Amino acid sequence: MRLRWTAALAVLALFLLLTVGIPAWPGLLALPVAGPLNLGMAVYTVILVGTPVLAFVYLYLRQRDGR
Amino acid sequence: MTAIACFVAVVLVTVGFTAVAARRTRSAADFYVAGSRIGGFQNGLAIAGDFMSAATILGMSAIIFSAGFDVVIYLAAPVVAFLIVILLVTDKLKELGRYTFTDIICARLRERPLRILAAVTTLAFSVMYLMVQVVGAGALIEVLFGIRYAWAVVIVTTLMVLYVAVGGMLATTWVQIAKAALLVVGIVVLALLALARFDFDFVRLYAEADTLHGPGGYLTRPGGLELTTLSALSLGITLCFGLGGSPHILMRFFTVPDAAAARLSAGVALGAIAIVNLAIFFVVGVAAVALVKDNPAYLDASGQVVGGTNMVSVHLAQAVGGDVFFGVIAAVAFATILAVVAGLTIASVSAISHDLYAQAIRRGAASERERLRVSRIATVGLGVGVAFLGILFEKQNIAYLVSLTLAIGASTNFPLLMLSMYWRGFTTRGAIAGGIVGLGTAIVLMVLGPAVWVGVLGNARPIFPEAYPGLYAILAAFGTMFLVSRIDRSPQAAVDRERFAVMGA
Repeated sequence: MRLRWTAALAVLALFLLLTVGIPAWPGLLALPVAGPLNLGMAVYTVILVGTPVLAFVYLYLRQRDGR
Repeated sequence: MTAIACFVAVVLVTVGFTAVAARRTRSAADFYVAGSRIGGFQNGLAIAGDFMSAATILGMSAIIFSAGFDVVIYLAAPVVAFLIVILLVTDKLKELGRYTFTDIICARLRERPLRILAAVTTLAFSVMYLMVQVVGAGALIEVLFGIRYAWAVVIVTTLMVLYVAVGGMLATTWVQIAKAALLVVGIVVLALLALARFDFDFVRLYAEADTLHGPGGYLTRPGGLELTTLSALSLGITLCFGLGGSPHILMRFFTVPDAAAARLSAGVALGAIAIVNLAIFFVVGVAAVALVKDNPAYLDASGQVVGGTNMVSVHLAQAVGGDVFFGVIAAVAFATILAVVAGLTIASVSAISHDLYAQAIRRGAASERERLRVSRIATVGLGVGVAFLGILFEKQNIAYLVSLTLAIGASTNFPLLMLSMYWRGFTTRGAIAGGIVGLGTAIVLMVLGPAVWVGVLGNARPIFPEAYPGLYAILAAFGTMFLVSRIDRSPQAAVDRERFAVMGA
């Protein structure tokens, strides 16, 4: 249960950092990474790709444990 | 004409689903949760379908079109919310519930007052969310058929009543599955066709769109929505917690046979939503700026986008795929809206007939036949109310209206659900006091804020200046629930704390 809470809160914290970063650190989020991609867009991509992956890993582990 | 033919074909197919499902809907369990016999994968698509509403396909592109990068808050929130639901909610929901999330709360708190409260919050949430969908559908039909917005709203609500009153959850689920698949494929094809116009060169696409987007470079830079730190935080938390407390999405976890299928559902839903939201953010919204903005074919005499900015993704479909693809995307958007509307109506009708009528008023004595009759009457009543609201809110951005609606779910259902499942000290009095304070705060701040006080009632300035009131209502709800539960020394409070054991803690 503790691991589940940690994972949920970590993803929520990353999302809120991106959210608050929009007014608080616009220059940082606008730092170019590659081509038109900047740091803010990269963080967004990490959340959108990483979250489903995390969910499927969790689902796989639960299924493997037979729960 | 081709566009209209495609559009009518999709509507007829979905009505066909309803007719077939109606023949299979025999019991209350069939009507509310499709007899709990939907598979995990199909249910995942249906959940994605329930979530991806008019706000996703129309509203998000509109925000990119006008404000740019800041849409990431709207697009990232759903996947975060779904992960929270998967990790912290689904197992308990499935293990303890029967029809609605209310059953979870009532498993440990006093049933009757909680059922009434939960039914009221579910209704408030669903009516607002329904209104948002109707605004999108009305604008869509107005653009496609050239008929007046008010008539378009009447057509949509009539179809909504037909779907739900006749077909129940089974029809709604079939429509959701078909629509979610169509939506994912439609958005991906739209993105590929748009990219093809720029020879799959992202740098060129972004360079052209950036030039047209306007001063400030907000297409890729933060700042287009002009949020303060507090309003950004409020919007983000509201979207996450609101989706986690959406009754029509939570209800979907009851339509599968076991906890494993419920988890698989959430995972599939998450994957589908992530694909669509990535395509909208990186391609569809940006291409709409490059190909629709300043294109006289899509602007009216005053220089505004025909049908409003909510229609930019539909105009993009015509720009890159001609009339046929325009018809297909318009039909997908319309099917999307109808399906979401049907799911929300089921949740509202369930709150009225199952929680308010059968449990609170008839105290469990209502027959199945009576409950089905009340369900169908409630569906018609909802249709009338929602059509009225849809006409009032015609000019508002759909995604923004969704954020207001989610403030209700975030400040009522979500804290009720989380504290019931995870806090031993939570009591019936705390739940009722916090629920009332959360709902009241959300609605009052919404009415006094810019969207209603200025946008609908026509006043010059809002009484409550904050455009995103969710955080205040969430804090008020959690704070009241915590404080009242802590000081509650009633005999019922002792029972509530003892019954925490049923949550499997």
